[in-house]
Amino acid sequence: MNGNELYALASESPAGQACVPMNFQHTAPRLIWRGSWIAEFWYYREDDSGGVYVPRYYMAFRLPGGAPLEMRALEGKQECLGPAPELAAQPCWDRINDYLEDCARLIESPKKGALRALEERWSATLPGPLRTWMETYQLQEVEEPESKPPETAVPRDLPGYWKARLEEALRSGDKDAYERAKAGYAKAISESRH
Amino acid sequence: MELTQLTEAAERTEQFEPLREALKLPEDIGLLEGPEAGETSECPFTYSEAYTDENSIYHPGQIKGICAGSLSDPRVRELTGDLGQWQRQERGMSCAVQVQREIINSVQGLELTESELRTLAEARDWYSDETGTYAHDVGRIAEECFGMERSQYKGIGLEALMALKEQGYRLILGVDHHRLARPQLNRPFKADHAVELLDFDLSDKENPKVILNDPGRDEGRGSVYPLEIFLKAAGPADRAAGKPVIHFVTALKKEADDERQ
Repeated sequence: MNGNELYALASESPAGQACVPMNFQHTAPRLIWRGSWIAEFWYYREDDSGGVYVPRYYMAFRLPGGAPLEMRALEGKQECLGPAPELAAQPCWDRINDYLEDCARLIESPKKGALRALEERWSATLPGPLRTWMETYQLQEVEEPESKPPETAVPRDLPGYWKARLEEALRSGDKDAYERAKAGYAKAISESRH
Repeated sequence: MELTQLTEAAERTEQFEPLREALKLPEDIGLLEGPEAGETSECPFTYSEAYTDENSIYHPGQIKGICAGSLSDPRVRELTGDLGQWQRQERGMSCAVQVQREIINSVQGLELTESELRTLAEARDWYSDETGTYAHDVGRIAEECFGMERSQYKGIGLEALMALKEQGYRLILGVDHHRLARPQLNRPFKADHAVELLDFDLSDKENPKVILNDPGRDEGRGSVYPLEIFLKAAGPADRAAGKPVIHFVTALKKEADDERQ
């Protein structure tokens, strides 16, 4: 897996495309270690000027295979106001590309000691307003990976994810989607009780 | 009077207004004389020059003129009809709805508004002002409400895309709008915008071009991009195969319309 493939996991994987509407951009992945690597992405949309970011979805994938672990709709969060997008400049993309390649290397040969530095570098890839928003609303929700590394990856709200898909399928009348969501929900509920 | 008759009349008499009206052509696109009977034109269009502004935003060329004589070619006529239907998207996330409106109106001869289609799509969970459209829902208004044939393709090659166009499909592409606006940047690919691919212009073999209707730009009608920039915005490069990849395509066709009329 190279850096581009890691980034593309959020938008080009079947789960990424099925769960998030096309108009949303996403952050570079934040890597966390929970017995195996997990990549977390936040999805946001920009207004026409690029100065307002509206975070709306969160998805986590297990690495290196890219199996989806969790999806959340970030309802009721405020917009992040900011100046013109700093991501418009090539140095920002160089930073992101370098970061992605380093992540890809780390996934291939894990060194947990590098995580904190990586976290800081990840933060530096975020558009300023989004970074502020995440520090306020998101970072506190996520445990420090080095202080408490769980032995196994535990999806935080897989039943909730499948329940939302179930409701969507019911609304749309899509029988196939309904059956898939029903099976996923039953499995997630069953596993969450173990 | 039929469109072909109007085209012939325009060639003979240089009276373009009835033809312009029939095609719903905007005033900023001219109908040009020629080619004369018996002559062929390599390119039936004239374009404005592309440029990059002081904020490093790339502004593609734009179709400014169509040779009236070329309208006897169904493919040019089809493109011209879609040019006449172009409108700026009315909401921040409504690109996929607006592009479908252009195609439905052009193919079915209707005069639907984006607002009407948004209402249809919202009621069916294919669109919302908050979230826009899921990739798998692109084209469903045209298919399920207006009876068009719809197919979707992921990760196809340029040849396959051109073949779809040859077969008469109207094509909606998921593109990275940042890569269209700032092609000089080396940023990871993310398709976040829907455009209609009107056609390819291969008249200059050294500088092939792609013509798009982009609802996200004020000057998005008949935008003319160099193929290289278009490919960069249409999908991530497949380094292993050394070929460009078209990320996501929705192909629409009037049902039971296998051959161009």
